[in-house]
Amino acid sequence: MKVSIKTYNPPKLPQRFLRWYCKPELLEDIEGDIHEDFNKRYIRSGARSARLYYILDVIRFFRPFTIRNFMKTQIINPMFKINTRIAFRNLAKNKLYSFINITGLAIGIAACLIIAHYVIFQLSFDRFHENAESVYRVNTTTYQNEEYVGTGIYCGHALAPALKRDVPEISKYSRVHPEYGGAIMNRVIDGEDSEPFREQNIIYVEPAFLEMFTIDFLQGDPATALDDVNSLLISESMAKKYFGDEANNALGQFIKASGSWGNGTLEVTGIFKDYPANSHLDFDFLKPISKVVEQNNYAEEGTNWGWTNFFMYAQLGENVSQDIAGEKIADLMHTYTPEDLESTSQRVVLTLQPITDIHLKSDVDDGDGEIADTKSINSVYFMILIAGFILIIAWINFINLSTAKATERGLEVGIKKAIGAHRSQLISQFLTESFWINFIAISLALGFTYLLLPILGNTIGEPLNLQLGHPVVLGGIVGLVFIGPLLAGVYPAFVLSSFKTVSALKGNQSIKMKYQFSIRKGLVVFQFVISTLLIAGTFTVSKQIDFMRNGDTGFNRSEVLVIKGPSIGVTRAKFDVFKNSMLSFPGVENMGTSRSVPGAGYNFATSGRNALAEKSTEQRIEVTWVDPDFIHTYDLELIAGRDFSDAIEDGPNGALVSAFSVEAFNLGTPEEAIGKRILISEDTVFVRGVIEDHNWQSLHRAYMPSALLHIPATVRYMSIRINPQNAQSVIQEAEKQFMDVFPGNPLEYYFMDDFFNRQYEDDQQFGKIFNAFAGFAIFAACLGLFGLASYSVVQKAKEIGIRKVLGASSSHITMLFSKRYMILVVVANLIAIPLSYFAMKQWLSDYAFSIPITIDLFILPILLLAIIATVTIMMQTVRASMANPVKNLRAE
Amino acid sequence: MKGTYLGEFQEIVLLTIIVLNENAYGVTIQDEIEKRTNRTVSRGALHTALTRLDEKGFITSIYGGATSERGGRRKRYYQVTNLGKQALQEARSIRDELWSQVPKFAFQNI
Repeated sequence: MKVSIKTYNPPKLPQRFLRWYCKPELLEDIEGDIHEDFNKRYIRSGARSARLYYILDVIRFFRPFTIRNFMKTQIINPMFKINTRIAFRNLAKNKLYSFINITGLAIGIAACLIIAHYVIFQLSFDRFHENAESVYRVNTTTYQNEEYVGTGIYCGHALAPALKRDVPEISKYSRVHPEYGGAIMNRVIDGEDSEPFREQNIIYVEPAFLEMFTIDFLQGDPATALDDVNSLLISESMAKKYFGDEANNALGQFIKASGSWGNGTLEVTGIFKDYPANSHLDFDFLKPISKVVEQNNYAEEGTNWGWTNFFMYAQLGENVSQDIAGEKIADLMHTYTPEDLESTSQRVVLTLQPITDIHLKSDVDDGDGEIADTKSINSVYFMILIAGFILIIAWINFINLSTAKATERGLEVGIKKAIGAHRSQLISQFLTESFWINFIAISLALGFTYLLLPILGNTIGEPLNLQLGHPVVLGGIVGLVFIGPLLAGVYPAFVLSSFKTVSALKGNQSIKMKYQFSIRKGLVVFQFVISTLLIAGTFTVSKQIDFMRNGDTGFNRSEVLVIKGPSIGVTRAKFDVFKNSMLSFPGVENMGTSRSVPGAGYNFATSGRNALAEKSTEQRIEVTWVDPDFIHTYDLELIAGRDFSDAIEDGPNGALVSAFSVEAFNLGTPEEAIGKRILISEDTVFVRGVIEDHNWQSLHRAYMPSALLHIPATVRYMSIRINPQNAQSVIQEAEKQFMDVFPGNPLEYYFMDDFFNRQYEDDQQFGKIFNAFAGFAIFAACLGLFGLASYSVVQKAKEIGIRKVLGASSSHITMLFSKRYMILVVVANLIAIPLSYFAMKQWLSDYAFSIPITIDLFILPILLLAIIATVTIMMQTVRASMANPVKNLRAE
Repeated sequence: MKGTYLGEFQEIVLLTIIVLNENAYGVTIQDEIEKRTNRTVSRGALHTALTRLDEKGFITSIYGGATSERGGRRKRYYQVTNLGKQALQEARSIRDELWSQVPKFAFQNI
């Protein structure tokens, strides 16, 4: 026998961990050894070292041979089978609750899966490029007098070669030049022109572009495809469009292009697979940039930096970090064009933006005509938030309905406990039940997702399909199968299994139930807070969209037919013929032409200032050329001065500036401004007239200084104000005249209001998605309320019977039972109002012109929700109050 | 029979158990090996080896009395079975045979 030595206690937590994971047959041995060692070390080297080694030992024993098999115990366990059988019996017994439970969950999960697909799609932008990690776009951020002016993507064509020369970190670059204004294209067979089409998605790129971006070539050799100045690469679907059945032999065929930048007969040197939708770029045709740089006066002095029509992508060499290269390029504009920048006291910073960031995190200001497909990352976060909300609502339903069933299950629990069931066994029974409900719900949800995804895809105009194989989706599903039942099932399982045997058998649960009910109430309130938030949100979004679509923009955009002008064989004489014949047609009230129209952007943005002011006061000014009839066609109101009706054909005609510009350039009152001079792009222009402020572009944007300059006539855009009754005949007449006067040009026309509102497509999409998911959430919440109400009515059937026997009226009983739920809805609303106020304010702050937040934005959602909730509850309570009391009282 | 092969560490463990005779349990085996071979033995590795030896039937174990230094847990004393001893002998004879074949000069110049 050993002498009893003093023993010490090892740390508790690692000990418990060991006991948890270790195989029972090995535990005593291992634990004993470690403990003995602990004691020795304690005496030898002190408590700290002993504890540390104890922890280390416990961790080091976490090996395959010591860990007991957790999975095996669950599956082999015959209880799992029995519990499964009990679970299905219970589901079959309470069909209504099972239905509500499972559908509610399925809807929640489906909403999550759908949103997951949407989010994955948004995050996948430009990641398919092999060089996605090393290709950057060069952005330009401008400061004036150290004040932020804006960030843009446009630069002169000299920038790219200069950067390549000065920054060795840049291994490849490609300038990109869009075909501004599009081009008319037609196939040429044996010198004959085929049917022409107008194409917008054309860009001019360097041969290196094909190496930097991943483009799948079907035919042609990417290495040489863009070498010839008259080469043309077309997408697969464009090959079908132009060559039909001969699409497979399109290589080497000819297409004639007539646009503003690179005309001529071009040879098809490559056909590429349609460029994927999940890229910020969108093009159907690629042309060599040499075509654009060699023509179009780009060779002239001063155009190399000043004509900022290009943007630039750079690929960094291997192992070059964005920071190093970014630092090097930041101030290079000041080495290239120091005088220009100094004289305007501007500071320009060049930055590299990863192409994978462009779609969601573009830091380019909207105003700079970003041609990329961009979305705010916030809308993605927002979707994730909504998905989370819906899932939580569904889980709350599950919890509420399960605990509501508690009294019924109480007897079962009591009997099981009385014959010796452990609490852990009961918990595993309820968790098994929860597992099966979740499992069925997920299977259903997959079905819903499969059916609904294409619909969402249609709404956002992108291809969306069920991607079960995607790691995120797969992970989500697996996670939901295991975590869902635990999250939603743990609380009910613990509540149900906690009943005291005797009181459960007696059915005496009143004290306990009261406590539970308050948690349930809390959860219902939470559901309705979310519902109110979402309804108020839906309401605000649709009102704002409505406001933008129909709101006052300062010009009259209804009943204006816009014809996109011809570009082949245009002469002034032909134009006059067309205009006169249109004007003489009954139903045509006016016709104006311009180089751009509202909603299509301005012609160019440049610097402007008061001629008397310092150069440092320069501001961005947006300029558009219009003919004398333009402002009458659009009912633009002249505040002061003259319009262009008495303008001379060639001479200084001055500018019509907006009231906002008068203020911005410090020109005094509109009347005082007349005749004063402003400098636009350093050219002196006098103010001829002042027109009312108008939204040339969407209401997202605030007013900017803008000016309309005179042009005698143009065919770029022809706007015709028509009499609404004759709309159809005017279109027919326009078509006939157009074909007669400008043969060989495709006719493209639209109505101004439709065209202008196309700017809100993104907002409308957002609105639609938001509506749909708010609907999901409200439906799920009501489903839960319905279940709860119906359950409490069943429970209180006797009480209702007794009340009726004693003389209570049906309406009285209905009121009595509805009241408690109505209170919950009211409480929920009280919480939701301030929350939704802040949410609305936040969302509306994105819009320069927005609706005011008024009280009706809250009242309507609340009323709506109250009505939905009332109807849901009434459906149950009315039925109960109408029932024959004898029926309920007799049953025992 | 599955895996009667005796690893080097397992052989050492078996021998140590025999050396320790009556007093062979986790802590003492570890100490003894560390003392004799001059190398640190991780407890996990030792237990892995003991479990494997047990599976192969080379050792058996009996529980001794509880002691306070182990926090009231019993010691598990190991004994080498006849099968284990046989395996040791076999391993040794293979080695001896090989040694006998080694030409003398092979070690002359060490």
